[in-house]
Amino acid sequence: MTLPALEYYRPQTLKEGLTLLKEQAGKVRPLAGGTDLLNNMKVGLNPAEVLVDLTGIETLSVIECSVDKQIIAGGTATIWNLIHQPEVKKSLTALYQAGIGVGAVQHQQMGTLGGNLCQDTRCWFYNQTRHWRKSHPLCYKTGGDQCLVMKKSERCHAAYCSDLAPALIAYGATIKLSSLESERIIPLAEFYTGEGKTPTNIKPGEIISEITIPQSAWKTKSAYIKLRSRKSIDFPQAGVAVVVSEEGGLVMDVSLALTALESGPVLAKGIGEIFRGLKTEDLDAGKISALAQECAAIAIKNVLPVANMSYRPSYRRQMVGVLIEETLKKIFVQ
Amino acid sequence: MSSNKKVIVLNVNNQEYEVLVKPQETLLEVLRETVGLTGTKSGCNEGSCGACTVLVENKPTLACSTLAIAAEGKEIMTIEGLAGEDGKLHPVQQSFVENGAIQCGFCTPGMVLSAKSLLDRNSKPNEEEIKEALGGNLCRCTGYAKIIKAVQIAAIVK
Repeated sequence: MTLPALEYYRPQTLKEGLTLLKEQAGKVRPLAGGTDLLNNMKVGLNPAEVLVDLTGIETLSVIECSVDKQIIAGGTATIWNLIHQPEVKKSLTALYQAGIGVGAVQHQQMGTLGGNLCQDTRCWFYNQTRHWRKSHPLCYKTGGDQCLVMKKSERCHAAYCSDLAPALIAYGATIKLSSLESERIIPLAEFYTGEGKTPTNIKPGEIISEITIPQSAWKTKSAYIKLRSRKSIDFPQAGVAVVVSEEGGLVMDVSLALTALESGPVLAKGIGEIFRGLKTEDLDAGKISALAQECAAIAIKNVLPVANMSYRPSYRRQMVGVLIEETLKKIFVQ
Repeated sequence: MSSNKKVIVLNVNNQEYEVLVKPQETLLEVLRETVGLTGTKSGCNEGSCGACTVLVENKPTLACSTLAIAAEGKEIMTIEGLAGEDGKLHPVQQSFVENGAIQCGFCTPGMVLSAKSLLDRNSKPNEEEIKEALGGNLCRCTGYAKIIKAVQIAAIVK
């Protein structure tokens, strides 16, 4: 499998890069780490005639990370560099655990934050060679008019599998989307459409230029657990990020976000109400188990995993409660 | 569409190679087929096995998932560049040889470079840290136990 013929540009400034993305609109994609894009292109997915390599733009890879201040990371900052900032492992545990779960060391060192958040959705029927895909009709994602998994559905159900997204969403992160004409800042949770063919609302010519984690994240306790076949390389079959804020021995708020169970990350609503006002000292393993089941009942209502990856949808749904319980135990008990 | 070849200079193992490449050629393809350094292996060619691991600016990098043109101007180390100029093996290489960490040898170049990178940033890794560092390098032969032991011993010797 080789890459198709293409033109390559490596701008040195953001303006240069955004200009190229506008001028080449319709045939261009931004390139950063390349671990997702290039391997998709080898099998005829994510076509592009022009690649604009953003890693030459130094300002896009900068990370500002000081304890008790908001963290601002550029879109091409690597996953490795962010999670290995001092104090991140101890204080932003969900972010660290999500980051070390991305692929393996090579993917973390090559892969970028923007690339990870903008990664394409995945499906058994999609992530295959051209030769394999010829044996099936086209699906929504490849230009057809059906989902090959959910035959009666009117939308694509390809799964979104970023590990970083649920952790960042649970912290309340925002992203800056920059194009030549404008900038917009939105909560990361609002970046995703929930639909598999076009999983984000990124506009042509836009890139994620910044990711901001609010200052409040430093005061939280958090965890991320990923369900996967092996301890490295694999995408998640399901993933849960939980972020808890406490004060005076009481739980003030809990955010819970899921990945790999839908066509976008899902921030479960109403989780905070279950925990608010509980004394942290009362949260033993038994109580956590019961609370986890309550959370899972809410979370499962918001997701519809389908048979487009290794583990059965029913198993992945069942594991949501287990993953939630394990993350809560990591936060409150261990 | 024209092939649009470009002349680039790749710094590989402290030597400069002026090569004519197509923009779509991966670093793996150019290292093996143009530069002629075949120590870096093509396994899955989709970023999932680690056989193509090289060090780019000292970072473990999947050469199959990197454009050669994007690697211009960066220091690249392949397995051929690890031993000393006098041919003396790097401690990681020596340990792999002495501790039975090589069977067919196909994963070995990538595995050794990932291990070398680990020891450069963490001179005394525990077993879990070794497993995490080598998690992106698959081996179908050894079952990993002797590879891990070889890295542990290399850490002591180094």
